[in-house]
Amino acid sequence: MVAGAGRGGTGPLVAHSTWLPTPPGETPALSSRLRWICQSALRLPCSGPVNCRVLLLLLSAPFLWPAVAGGRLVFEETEISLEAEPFAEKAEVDFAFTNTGAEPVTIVDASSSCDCTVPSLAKRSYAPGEKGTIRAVFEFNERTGRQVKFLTVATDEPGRPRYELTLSVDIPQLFRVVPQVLVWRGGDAPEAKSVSIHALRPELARPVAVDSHDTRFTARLEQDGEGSGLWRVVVTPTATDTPIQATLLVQTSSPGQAARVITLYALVRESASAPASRAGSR
Amino acid sequence: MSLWRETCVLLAVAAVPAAFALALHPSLANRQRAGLEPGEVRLTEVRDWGTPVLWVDARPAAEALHDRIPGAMVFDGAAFDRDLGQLLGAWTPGQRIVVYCGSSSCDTSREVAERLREAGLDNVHHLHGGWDAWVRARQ
Repeated sequence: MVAGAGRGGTGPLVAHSTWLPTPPGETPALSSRLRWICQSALRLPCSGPVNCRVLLLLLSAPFLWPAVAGGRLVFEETEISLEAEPFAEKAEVDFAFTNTGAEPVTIVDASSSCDCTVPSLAKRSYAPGEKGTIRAVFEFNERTGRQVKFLTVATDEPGRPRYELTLSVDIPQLFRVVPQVLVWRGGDAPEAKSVSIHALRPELARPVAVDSHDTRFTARLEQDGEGSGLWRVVVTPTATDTPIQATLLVQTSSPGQAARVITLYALVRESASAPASRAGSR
Repeated sequence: MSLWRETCVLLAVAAVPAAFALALHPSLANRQRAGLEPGEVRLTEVRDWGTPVLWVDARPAAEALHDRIPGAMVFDGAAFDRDLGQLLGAWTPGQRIVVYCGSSSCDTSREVAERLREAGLDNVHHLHGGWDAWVRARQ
């Protein structure tokens, strides 16, 4: 109780000297300032076995606890990017982590931003120092281009932290189809409209034929110059006096792979009063 | 100084390091996207339009079939081409389309809306807050 008496200042502050001595390297001015804050501003009972700094630290503990105590997962990577092979149907990635905390950690939930991506765990509880992985399986279905999916992992750590993991996959796009939907308004002239199909990897896949499943539409496939990678599907309705919805299937050729079909739609519709759609407008 | 006052002051002092802990702690990486993304629309705005909207429910079928916005069509983004045909059967040119999924944390609605625009449809939006926003507004 007397240790440190007489340190760090004069006047009444000395009389309320602290149980712990001023740490080496800490300036008396700072020590004095702390004591002044505790005793004059906060009016804390800083004499006795517990000094102001200890008191403040104890009172801060509930707030700091999530940051300094308990289990803690550290992921080797929180973002994984990859490029899928052409014709791949899914991607599987592992997010590796370590429990670097002093307490066991239980993963209470792992969810995804998309039904197409399913996270899974070999186990849920991890001892201090133990490593683990969260596997994410992303089913591409008909998706192409850059796809970003988020996984959220919740644990039983103090403060219930949530870890966000990101999976980015570039899925090769074999075709760019513009537009997929052609629309004629009721009463319009039954003029031909076209869909542009750009084969982005013509060495892997290219359109070879188109079938109209409705006799009220005729469709033909044309190539825009040899080697250009561009095709057009030219569609013509026989009439536009009644609403029609037809499906057009473009057959493609992919050496060594199952043939894929590009689905197009041709519609004859009455207009709504709202602004017109650009679908199929020419 | 009363005990209550001292407690308040101490909590305020402790909040400073707590704020640093919150900002710097690596496990608190869940960041909510703020504001509206391109193509995103709030429910209040949809109501202000005053015109019939084609609602598209992009949640998992089990959830969508259990309860959904009245008139909404269930849309499986994994079977886009198939369900696009069904959507077109219910759509009138010029009609606004609003796609929603479960909440702000899902991105299926954004993805489906983007693909509908790529297919050639205009006036396609996705709902900020998704189904959760609808449920909150309904209560």
